[in-house]
Amino acid sequence: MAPIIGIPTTRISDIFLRERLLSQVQHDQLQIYKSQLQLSTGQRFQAPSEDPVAAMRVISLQRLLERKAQVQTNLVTNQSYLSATDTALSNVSAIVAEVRGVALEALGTTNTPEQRMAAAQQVDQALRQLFDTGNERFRGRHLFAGANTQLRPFLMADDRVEYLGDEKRLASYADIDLLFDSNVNGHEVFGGLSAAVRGSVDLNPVMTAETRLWELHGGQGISRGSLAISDGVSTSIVDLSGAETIGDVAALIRARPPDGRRVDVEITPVGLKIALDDAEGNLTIREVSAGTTAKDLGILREVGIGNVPVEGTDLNPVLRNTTLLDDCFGVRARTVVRSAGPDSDFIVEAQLRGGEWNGFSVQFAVDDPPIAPGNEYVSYDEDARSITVHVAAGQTRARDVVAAINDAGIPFTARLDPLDAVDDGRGFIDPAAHGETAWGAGEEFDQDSGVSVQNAGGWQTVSFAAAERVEDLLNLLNDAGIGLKAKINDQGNGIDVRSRASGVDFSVGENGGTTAAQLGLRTFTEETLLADLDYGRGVPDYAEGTDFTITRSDGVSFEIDVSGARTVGDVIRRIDEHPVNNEPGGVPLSARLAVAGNGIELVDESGGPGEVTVTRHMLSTAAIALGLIAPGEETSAPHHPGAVAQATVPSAGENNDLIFRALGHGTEWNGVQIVFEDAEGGEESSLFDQGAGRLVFRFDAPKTANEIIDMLASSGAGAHFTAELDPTHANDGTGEVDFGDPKGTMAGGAPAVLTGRDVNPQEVDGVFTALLRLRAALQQEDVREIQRAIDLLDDAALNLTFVRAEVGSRQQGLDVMQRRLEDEELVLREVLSVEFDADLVKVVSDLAGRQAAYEASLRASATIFQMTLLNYL
Amino acid sequence: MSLYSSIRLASNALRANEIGLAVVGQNIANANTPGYIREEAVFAPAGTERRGNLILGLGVRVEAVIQKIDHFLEERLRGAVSERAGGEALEQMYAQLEGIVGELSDTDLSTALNDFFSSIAEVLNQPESVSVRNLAMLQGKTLAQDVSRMSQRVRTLRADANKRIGDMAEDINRLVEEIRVLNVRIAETEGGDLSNSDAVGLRDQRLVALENLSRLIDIRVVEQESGGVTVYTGGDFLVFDGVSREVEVVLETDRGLNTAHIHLSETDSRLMPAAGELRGLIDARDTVLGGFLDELDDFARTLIWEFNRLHSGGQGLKGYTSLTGEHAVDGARLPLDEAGLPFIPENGSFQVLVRNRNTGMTRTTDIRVDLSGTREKTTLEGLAAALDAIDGLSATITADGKLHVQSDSPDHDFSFAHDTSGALAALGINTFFTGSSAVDMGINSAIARDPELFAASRGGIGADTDNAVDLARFLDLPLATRDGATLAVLYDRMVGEMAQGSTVAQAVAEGAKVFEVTLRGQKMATSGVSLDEEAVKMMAYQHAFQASSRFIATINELFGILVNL
Repeated sequence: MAPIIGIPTTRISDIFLRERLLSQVQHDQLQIYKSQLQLSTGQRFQAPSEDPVAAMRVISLQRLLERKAQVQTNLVTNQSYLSATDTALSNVSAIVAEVRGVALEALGTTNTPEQRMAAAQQVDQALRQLFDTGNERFRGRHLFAGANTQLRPFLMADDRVEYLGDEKRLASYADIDLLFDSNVNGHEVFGGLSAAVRGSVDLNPVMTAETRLWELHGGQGISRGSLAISDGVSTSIVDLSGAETIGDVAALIRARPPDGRRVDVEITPVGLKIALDDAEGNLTIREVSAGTTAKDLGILREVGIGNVPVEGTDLNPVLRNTTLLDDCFGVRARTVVRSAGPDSDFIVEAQLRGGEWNGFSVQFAVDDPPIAPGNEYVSYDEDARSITVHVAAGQTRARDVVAAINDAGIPFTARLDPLDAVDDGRGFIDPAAHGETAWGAGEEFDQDSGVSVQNAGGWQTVSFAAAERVEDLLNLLNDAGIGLKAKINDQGNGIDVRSRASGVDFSVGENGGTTAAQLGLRTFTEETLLADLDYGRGVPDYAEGTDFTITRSDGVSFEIDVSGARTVGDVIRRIDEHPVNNEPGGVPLSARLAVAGNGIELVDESGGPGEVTVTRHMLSTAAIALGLIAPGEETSAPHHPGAVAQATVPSAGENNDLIFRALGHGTEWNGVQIVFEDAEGGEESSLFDQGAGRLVFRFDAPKTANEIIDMLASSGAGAHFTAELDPTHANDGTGEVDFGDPKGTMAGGAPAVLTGRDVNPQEVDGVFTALLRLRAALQQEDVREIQRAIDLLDDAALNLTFVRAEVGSRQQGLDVMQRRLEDEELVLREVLSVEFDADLVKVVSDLAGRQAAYEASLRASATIFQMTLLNYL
Repeated sequence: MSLYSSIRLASNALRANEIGLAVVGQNIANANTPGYIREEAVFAPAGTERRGNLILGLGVRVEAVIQKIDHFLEERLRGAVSERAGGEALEQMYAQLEGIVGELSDTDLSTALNDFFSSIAEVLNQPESVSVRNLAMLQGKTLAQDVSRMSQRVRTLRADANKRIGDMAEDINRLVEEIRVLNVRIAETEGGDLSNSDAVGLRDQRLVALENLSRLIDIRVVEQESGGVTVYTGGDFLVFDGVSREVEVVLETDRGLNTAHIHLSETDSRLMPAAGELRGLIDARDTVLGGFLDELDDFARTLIWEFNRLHSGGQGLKGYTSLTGEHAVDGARLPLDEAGLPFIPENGSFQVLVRNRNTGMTRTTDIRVDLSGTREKTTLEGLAAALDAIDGLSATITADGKLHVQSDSPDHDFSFAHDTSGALAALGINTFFTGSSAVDMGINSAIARDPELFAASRGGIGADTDNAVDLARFLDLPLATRDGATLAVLYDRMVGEMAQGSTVAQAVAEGAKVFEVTLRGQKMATSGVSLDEEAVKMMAYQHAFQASSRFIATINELFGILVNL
């Protein structure tokens, strides 16, 4: 459209006429050119400004199309991965089915050992094929490695296959904002990892000033907004949006108290404790503009209850790689001792974890005459549960107190409160200030014992002595070279340990301490269900009654019936509490979990001369299943004989060194002191005081070693002890002995112990385990194990079916998405075309119209210019 | 009345018609002269003569030759010219800007953006492929170059506009001087009130000069009694009769350009035209191009900062063994948020993962970046010390104030994770982009050398692609620092504002053009020459001349009769 320009109504000048015609021609030409441009580019407009609204739509449509093009690529690429995966999976299924046939055949009783060996060969072959499939690469990607596709996921050793991949899946975009999984990992397909050994133990890390806000509430974090603190008179708004740690929160709250007040913030092991100064007030903490910050921090108190401190709820920080082991397993009792004025607060903390350190009062005392500053000292009374620091009133600084406590050699340490510290604790303490330790809980972590782990390559000890942080502990497990995969569990409160090695037994037990139990990693505990033992076969109960008989070393025997027992602990209690075992006069045998490794241990302190034995009832295999008797045997293996306690008693001179021994095994005589006492003319005697644990010889010197031996033999104490000459060097016993209290202490006594097997080994559930177990069972001709391997194979086959179904449905899903994407693209292109493409019919007709208009205006111009009065003159 | 007086009367008429014909001739001659104002001979009855009780007319006289001009219309026309010139200048600048942005084509920035993020999506498809990561790096480089090039080209355009503004001072001075000289000459020629006629040619020239001046700046013209004009712009006069004021160029710095501003030399007051080409160019330079550069910088900064923050918390296919930050601090002992870094870190922390390459075991260390303000703030020195304290790492500060981190042995490499402080991105560590504005945007040299460092993983070196999942959808990621707007929205806003501005500028220019043409039409209606009209006049004068001649002949015959008596 040509612009509409007003035509003057008075007169028309020639120049006007000419200019109008010129501009008309130009305009028409421009329009024709535009039409031509539309025709040649096919676009309705060339620059966004020609139709900004449509242009913005076009830009967003173009972007959408460009991105959908990438999505198409994603779908095609990943379709190819899934197809390759599907092919591999069908291959695996075929192998599994074939092996199952071989195994079933081998079960047949008519099979000869040669046939079984041949079957084992076949299984071996299948194993290798599966192994190759597991490591298959497609387009540079290891199909079954999980998220780290560079990694070769499976590794084969003689007796095992190790899975080095992870449990993650790779994701790719199936639409602008839609992710889909583009692989299945080796664990899903082949069963690369064992079920996690995860304890019921919550390591429950304590909260510290350095705890990140996002670690709170099990890693969910908190909303970082503002909160309002009021003393009932004035209110202060504290903005926590920039806070990173709990320490920041505490510092920010302290820095913004209500007008004229002081707010003390304590970071307790679980949460925050907020208190106003001692003046009257009504402490409330509220949200600001419907936030949740105060609630998230557990310190919301909308209705005040006077000047009572707000004790925050448990904020439950999550366990992280960098969590210090020192901050787990319990809390050291502690208290904050506050004085008015800055730089004067300090914290007193027990050196050990545990509730027994709670309730210790910390206070100051001013001596008379007063001590000079710098000479502060501590008086510690464990019975009265009191720690008193003697100070110089008005002159003792917080740091002096801290130094005094740390130098006092008491089981408590002190440090400045970081929230109050300004200049190294130069603030003066208030002699009236005091505190009482609280929060102590849990127990010390037995870090040095380590755990005993059975996995790839047999039993091995993993020591945690060098670990400082959770990550160190995990690294020690992962790097032990025994195919473990340890990580922080999904709840973020404990540790999971899993085995990467298929085909071998996996157990975690103690290494003489309590480390495994504390970490919750023990695979065989009192809570272990009997039904889970022996690879889930359980403990068969001989319903008629006695399952096995235990005979103590003193000959006492009793019968155990496991009927109704549910857990290992139940069996242990039945043994411990058996009436015969507890008859007076005897020393009861006690059952416990093995101190080293796993299994049930029978500990016999009775010191009898006999063997501790377990004999099974002919029809019951419960004792075998419990690990007390080896498979196929009737009675238990020989017990670990106990040791007698003994003490070497040397005297000055020669031929007089004696060795005292207890007559029976066991720990009972450990610690007995041997005393040679001067009778001073009184009656000579040799007496054993059982209560005090003292074996006392009273005699008048001189007395030879031989005479002492005789004295013992002829006294009542001879029923428990015997003495002999120390044979380590020439000794005829004629030398005289010296007096001494004590002359020696007996040690080294140990009970007889019957140690059972670990009957709850874990294993990786999967096809590799099935094949490895099958191969081994065929080689060993273990029919029972062949049967189990077939069951494992069936499970693996079922799992494979599921995985294949999933891969199939994902492929189908991709197909659907691809089709949808194509449809969508069509629609988008259509919309884009409507917005952006030139309507050719319209453009051509416009062009024709413009051409006509142009021609008409040229003709009109010529005519107008021809007409002039001058022609008529 | 005597015969003699009749002859005198007729000769007056002849002279008058001759003059009339001369004016017609002048008009016809200038029928196509631009700026020519049609002239008109003004006829008036000559005086009277009293004879007895009769009062007789003395014929005709030419009172004046005047220009047919509507001064009010001229003023409006000049205003319209200013509007149009300003609008057109702006329109042209917008058109050139649109050309540079080149949106809607296949080579525009949005395509480069999409290509970049698509290449990251491809990393998700083939995380193990180094060449795919290399491609992502190259696409990032292309994007950075496109942004940088666009910024450079807009800057060049802006410099052009600025140069034209600078040159305009000379044009204004020339025109002002011309008007002043013409003022003087018109006054001399017209002799004040002595003549009723206009100094036609000179006035035409002055009109042209005034219109030319109004094209540059909006002016107000007031004609004086003397025939001179006073020219005002804003509140200042440029010409007052025979006096004029010069303008000069004053330079200031704005967005990296020495911007020219036109000041009156005498008073040093800045010319702030409301319209005219100068106004259009100033708007284009300061608002349109300057604004676009601001938005482009803002877009680039947001992209660099937010993308780097995400990237710096991830890990590549391999770890670093040696690394120097891209950004330097003003002082190693200054708090990090006051150390002059182009991006400001905030209170938070990050993790350093040191991996033993032989065992594959990683040791994580939390590094606190304390900028909460409640304690002493973290400085680069403090940060370097904290990093240096990590087993297997040594950290130093280079002479130019950058952080340098190195692993102590080839058995160890390191990577970074979980940065809530933005300190890594601010220091240019484990980042993807470098620079802090559109013009200096680039790719981190470490990644450019080794694309394996592209941080697709979040669970450790080469462990997964969780970070790439977020990086790939970065375009749609609501950005906290932009109130939840996405990068796509920022881009659309930038292009949309430009397109909308351009459309408005076009519409304004078009409107001004139409208005001007309408006014010009009206002017031509008054002042333009119509040949037909002149022909009619010519005939009228010719006939009047012929009639007067006949009248003289008749008188002459009467004289003859008298003489022959």
